[in-house]
Amino acid sequence: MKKPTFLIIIIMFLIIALSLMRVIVSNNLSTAGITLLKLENRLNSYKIENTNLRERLLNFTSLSYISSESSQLGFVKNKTNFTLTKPLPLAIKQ
Amino acid sequence: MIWRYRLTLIILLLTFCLVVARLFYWQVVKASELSLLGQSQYGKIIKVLPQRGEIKTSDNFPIVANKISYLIFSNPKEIKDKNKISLLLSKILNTKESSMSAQLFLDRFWVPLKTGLTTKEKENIEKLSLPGIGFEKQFTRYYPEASMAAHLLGFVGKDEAGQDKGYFGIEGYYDRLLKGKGGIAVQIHDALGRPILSRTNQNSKETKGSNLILNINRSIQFIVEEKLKKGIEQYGASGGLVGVMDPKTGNILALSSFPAFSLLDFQDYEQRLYKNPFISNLYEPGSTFKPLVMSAALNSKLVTPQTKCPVCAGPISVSGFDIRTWNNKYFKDNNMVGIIQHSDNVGMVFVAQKLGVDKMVSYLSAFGIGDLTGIDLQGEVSQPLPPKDSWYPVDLATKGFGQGISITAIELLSATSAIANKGVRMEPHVVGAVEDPNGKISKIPPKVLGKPISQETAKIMTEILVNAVNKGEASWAKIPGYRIAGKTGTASIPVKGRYDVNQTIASFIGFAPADNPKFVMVVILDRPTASIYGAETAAPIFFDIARDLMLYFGIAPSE
Repeated sequence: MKKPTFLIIIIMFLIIALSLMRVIVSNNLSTAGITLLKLENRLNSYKIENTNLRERLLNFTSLSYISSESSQLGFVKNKTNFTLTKPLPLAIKQ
Repeated sequence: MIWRYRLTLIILLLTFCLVVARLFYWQVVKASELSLLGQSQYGKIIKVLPQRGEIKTSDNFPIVANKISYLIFSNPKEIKDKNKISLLLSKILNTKESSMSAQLFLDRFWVPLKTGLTTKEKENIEKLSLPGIGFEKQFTRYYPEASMAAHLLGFVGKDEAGQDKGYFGIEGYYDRLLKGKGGIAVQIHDALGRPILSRTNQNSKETKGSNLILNINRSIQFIVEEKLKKGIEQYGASGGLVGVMDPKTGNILALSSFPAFSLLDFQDYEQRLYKNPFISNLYEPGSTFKPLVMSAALNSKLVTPQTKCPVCAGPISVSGFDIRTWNNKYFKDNNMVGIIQHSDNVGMVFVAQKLGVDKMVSYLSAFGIGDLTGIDLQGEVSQPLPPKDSWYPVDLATKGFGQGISITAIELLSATSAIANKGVRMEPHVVGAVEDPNGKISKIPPKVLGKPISQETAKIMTEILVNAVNKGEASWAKIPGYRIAGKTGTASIPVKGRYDVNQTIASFIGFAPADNPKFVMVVILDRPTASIYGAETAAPIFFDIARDLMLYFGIAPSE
C-alpha cells in the first residue's frame, strides 16, 4: 500500500474510534447525573433522619426529662449521706 | 482547467477560514456570556444553608442545638382551586382561613405560608400532592433543657434583612462566632431537568458556625434553678437571682434568674424580661457589701480584727441623719469580728470613716465596683462611682454598709470572689472554649483582673465571715460540719426618694469550703413577703443549694 493511503486509513480509523468513545462517555455521563441525584437525595434523607434522631436523644438525656421520669418511677432525693474518709488533721502547735 | 481546481480550493479554504473565525468568536470571545446564559437557563441555584453553632455545657451536652424545620411556600399561579387549598391548608397548619386565603390570592410566584413545620407535618402535607405547594428546609434553634438558663443564653431573632441574629446573653455576645456563612452552589441540568455530573460549581463556600463550650455545669444549673424557683414561691418574692462562680478561675458555674421567659416563644413575653437582671439590673447591696469595706480597712491596717468600735453603743448621727442598726440592738466596744457577726451598721460607719473617701474609692475601684466586670454576656451595665469631691460625709457613712450605692449582682460576686481567692480577682467568664467548624478547640484561659487585698487580709476576712455564718443571724440555716464563709444582706429599696423599710432586697453571699473554696455564690430575692430579712429568706436558699453542691463536689464535712 502506498504511504499516503495507509495514513488516511489510520486517521479515518482514529476518527471513528474517538467518535464512538465520545458517544459512550457522553452516554455514561448523562445517566450519572441521575445516579448523583438519587445519591444526593438519599444522603439528604439520612442527614435529616440523623438530625431528628439526635433531637430525640437530646430530649431523653436532658436533666428535665430524667428528673420528671425518675420522680414518676418513684426515685426520691437522697436526704442522708455519710463520709468514709475524714479530712487530714491540721498540724497545730500545742 | 487547472484554474477551476484552484478556484474551488480557494473557495473551500475561505469557507473553512470563515467557519473557524466564527467558531473562535462564539467559543472564545463570547464564551463567558454564553456560559452565564446557559447557567441561567439550565442552572439551578442551590442555597447551602448555614448551620448556627451549638452552645454546650461543660459536659459537652448541647443546651442549644439546631433542628430541621420547614417553611411551606406556595406558587399561587400554579393553584387553580385556591379556596379549596386554603381551606385544607388552614386546617392542617392550624391558621386562620382568611389569612391563608389572602396569601394564596397574591399575584406572586412565591409566597411563604408558615415556618417551623416538623418533618412529620411536612410529610403529611406532601402525601396530599397539592399543586403549587413546596417546602424549604431551614434550621431552627432547639433547646433540649427547655428554658434552662434563658437569660444567660439569650435567643435568636431576625435582623432588618431577615437573617438570623442573636439577642441578649451568649447568643447576642457571640453572634458573629455562632452564625455560619451561607453558600451558593449552581448545578447545571439538561433539558429534562436531570443534573449533569460534571457541572456542579460552588460559587461561594459555606461555613458552619463555631460551637461554644460553656463553663456552666448543667447539674449545678439544674439544682440552682430548682431551688431558686422553690424559694421564690416559698418566700413570696417578686423575683430572684442566683450566681455561682469558681473563684480561682472566674468560671461561671451557674446563673439563674426569675421571672424568665421561654426561649422558643420569646416573642410572647414582655421585652423587659429579656434583660438578664444579674448583669443588667442595679440594686443597693446592703450588708453583703460590708465584707468589701471591712477588707479594705483591714488591708490598709487602719483596723485589726480586735479593734474596738468606740461609737457602737448607740445610733450615730452623720450630717443630721441618724444611722441605726437593723434591729436597734447595740454592742458597746464591738470589735470588727462582732461588727460583721451582728451586721452592725454603726460599726461599719466607724470603719468607713476610718478609711476616708480616698481609700474607700481606691479600694472599691480595685474590687471592680463601679466598673464592668467584662463578663462575656450581652447587656452588662455598671454605675460609675461618684467622683471623690462629690462625696458628702453621709455618702461615705451609708456606703460603708451598702446603701446609697448601686451595683449589679455580678459586680458583687466578682468582688467577693477576691476574698475567696487569696485576694486575687478573676474575670468572670461564661464560655470556656470555642470549637471551630473543623473541630479544633480553643480554650479561653482565666484572666486575672487585679489583687485588691493581700492573701493575709483575705484569710482574716474569711475567718470573720466563717464566724458570721456560725454565730450570726443565719446560723440557724447553716450546714453542720462545714466551714462556710458568708454574709447576709437586707437592703431597703429606695422608693420616690425615701427608703421603704417594708420592701427589701434580701441577699446572702458566701463561699465554701472556706479553706479551699470550690464555689462562691450569691442569692438575691427581690421583695420577699414572707420575711424581709436575708437571714430568713436568701440564707436558707443559699445553704440548701450549698448542701447539694457539697455532695456534688464530693466535699466531706471538716468539722
